[in-house]
Amino acid sequence: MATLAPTRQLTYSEAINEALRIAMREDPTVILMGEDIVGGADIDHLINEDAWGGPMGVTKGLVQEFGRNRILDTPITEAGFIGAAVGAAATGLRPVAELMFVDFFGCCMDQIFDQGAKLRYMFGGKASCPLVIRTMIGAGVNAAAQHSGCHYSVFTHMPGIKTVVPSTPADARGLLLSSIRDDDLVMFFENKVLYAMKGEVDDGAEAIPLGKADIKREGSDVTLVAISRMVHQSLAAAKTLANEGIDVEIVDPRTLSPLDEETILDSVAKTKHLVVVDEDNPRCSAATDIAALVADKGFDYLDAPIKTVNAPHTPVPFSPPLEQFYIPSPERIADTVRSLF
Amino acid sequence: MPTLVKMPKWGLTMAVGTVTDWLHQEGDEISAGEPLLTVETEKAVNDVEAPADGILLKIVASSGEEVPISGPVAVIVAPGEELSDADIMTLISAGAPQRASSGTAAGSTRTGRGPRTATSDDSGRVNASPAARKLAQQLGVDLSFVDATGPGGRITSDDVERAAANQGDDPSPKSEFLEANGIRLSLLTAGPKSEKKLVFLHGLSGSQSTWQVVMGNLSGTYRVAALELPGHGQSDKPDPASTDYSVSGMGSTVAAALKHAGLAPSILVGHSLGGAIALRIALDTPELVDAIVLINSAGLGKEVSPELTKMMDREPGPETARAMLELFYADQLLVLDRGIAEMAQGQLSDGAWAAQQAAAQRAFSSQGRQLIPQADLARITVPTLIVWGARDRVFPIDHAYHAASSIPDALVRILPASGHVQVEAASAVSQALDRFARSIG
Repeated sequence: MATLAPTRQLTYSEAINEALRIAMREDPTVILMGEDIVGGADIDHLINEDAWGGPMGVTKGLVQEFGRNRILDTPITEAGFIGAAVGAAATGLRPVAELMFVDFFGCCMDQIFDQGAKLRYMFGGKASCPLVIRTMIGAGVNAAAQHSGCHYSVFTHMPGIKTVVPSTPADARGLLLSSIRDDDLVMFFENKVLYAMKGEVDDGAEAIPLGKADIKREGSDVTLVAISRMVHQSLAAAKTLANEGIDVEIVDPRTLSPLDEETILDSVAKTKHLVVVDEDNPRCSAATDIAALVADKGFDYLDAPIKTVNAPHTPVPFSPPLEQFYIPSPERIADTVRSLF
Repeated sequence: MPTLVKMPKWGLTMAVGTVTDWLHQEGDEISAGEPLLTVETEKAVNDVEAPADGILLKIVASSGEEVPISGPVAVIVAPGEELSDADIMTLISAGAPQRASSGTAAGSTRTGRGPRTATSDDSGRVNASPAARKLAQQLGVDLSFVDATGPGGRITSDDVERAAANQGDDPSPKSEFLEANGIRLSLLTAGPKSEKKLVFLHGLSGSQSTWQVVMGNLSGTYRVAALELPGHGQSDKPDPASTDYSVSGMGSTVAAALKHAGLAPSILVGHSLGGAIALRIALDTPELVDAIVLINSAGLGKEVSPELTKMMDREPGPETARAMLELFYADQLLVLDRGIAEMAQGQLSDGAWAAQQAAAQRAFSSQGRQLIPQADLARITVPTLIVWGARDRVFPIDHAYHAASSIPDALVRILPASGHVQVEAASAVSQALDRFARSIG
């Protein structure tokens, strides 16, 4: 019997911090860039203070170990520093840039989509863009429409970009390590509601390969493909449904591009029912993409129509009750599952 | 209380009836017992009587529609009683036939929804999930006979699996043909899937219809099947010049059919000529046989009514059939026109009489020779029940006792008032068969 590695409880935020630290220790070309990520510690007389470390404290404590040459506070100008990160990546560094809220992608989309994502293609494979852009997603903290979207579907649509949507501390740590080591542009979506969530993380755990889904709950009656925070909403729904005799399997794709089609199709082959749970807006979404995948390659597995549970096709409302209504809830997920039987 | 008028079941093999005419319109006041509609089956057109007094509220199946037995045909309500559309729907769906629902529905643990008839669209395409369609194709299941547990009356793959598992288990009677030794034989099966299967073999000039009552009695408990011998009923009637109508020839064909139809091993119940065939199979291929039941069986002694052998030289038809049935029945009041017509039809169909004559010739031609040699009876290894109508004028009752003393593991049940045919004591025969089947293995 294999010895179990010792585990610790880490928050999602601490797990990301740890991955950044590991990556920076093992590779001197890894640098961090972003707004306020040093968090005041770049003021000379504060260099050794326990500075804030970004708006959510994710990069806290890194500047003390790696110094201001590798942890770069940038102006509030996404077009500028994302562009600089693309350039740095193309010329030998492995930057990890922080786009504070994904909702700001409009300011730097040319740098991401038309430059970073296409470099390898435009230079016939002679250039690459080993850049990770960490960005916050998700509703639930009353941050209103301009700071609460998900939008990972937008980037999943674009060739040349890998999209990573971790749902647990262990996944965040393992997937961020793989993202930094990856030679292409990776968008790394951190759900802000999950930062404080604790989870077990193995000491010395390996990186988790991109493109490998994880079954978060085994079940026999229905497959829920749940993205990011929706894994937890789905786990809650599964608990309720278990009392009603419906055994739910939850597949966490963990990365949307590349997508682990095999695990999803295998699960649907077993359960014959599919519900995709996605906090993003419904049209042209990851949910419809996965639904189309199964309709195409798994049609004969299906015993019921494919269902998707998404946010409504609106921006995220500020009103707290409306915001709660907006986010796919365990109740809505359970109701959708019930409609299949 | 509303009353649902259902498609009646006339005879063991009736599966559907077609509504030919409505004798009343919706809104008519009707009284119990008066003819309400006419229904056509494979065999006849008959009136269906109103089961209750009241108003004919709703005609569910209009003229020309085919309805499975017990399927809803109309709704009758008391004068003044009102029913919403939903009430009518509920009433109809509660009364809808449950074809493959004998098992517990696997899906129902999730929803508590019982199986019901699948919905279908205007073109008749049954509502089934992609998985159900694929599986149905793989398993050879006809979706139009699968009950649905999915929402909106959709057939799911679980439903198909259940139907496939129950396919041999469809308790409603099913008529089919199978080929054995190059001869197409007609087979009627009914009853649940069961370890114990009873296969019935009729006598000379008979058909599976002789077993209707007995099979009906036993089909609730056992898998029952009636096979029609070559030259009889709906089975092929190949030319005797090229076909072996001897007991061993037909025995080998029946044995092949049993294997082919998944009916082996079984309890072989043979009447008259069918009894001799059951004996032959028990001797030649004992692995196909759990036990045998010999009802006024041929083959157990030397004597056979000379009247019968003479009748076989006559022309086929109603007169010959009447003479045979009068010989077979102890109670002449039971020789009914319907039975005569049916037997005559069986003799007159193309090639039948020549085949039946050949079978009789091979079985009974030489008085003084025992069809199944005495030494063979002692070699029967399977449990044997001998049932005998004491007033049989074809084979004397001595044959029963004679056989009982020769066959090692034999029981005898005498039916004091019966003649050559078991139909005269069908319920006693059914009970004897049930007890005997219970005692086997």
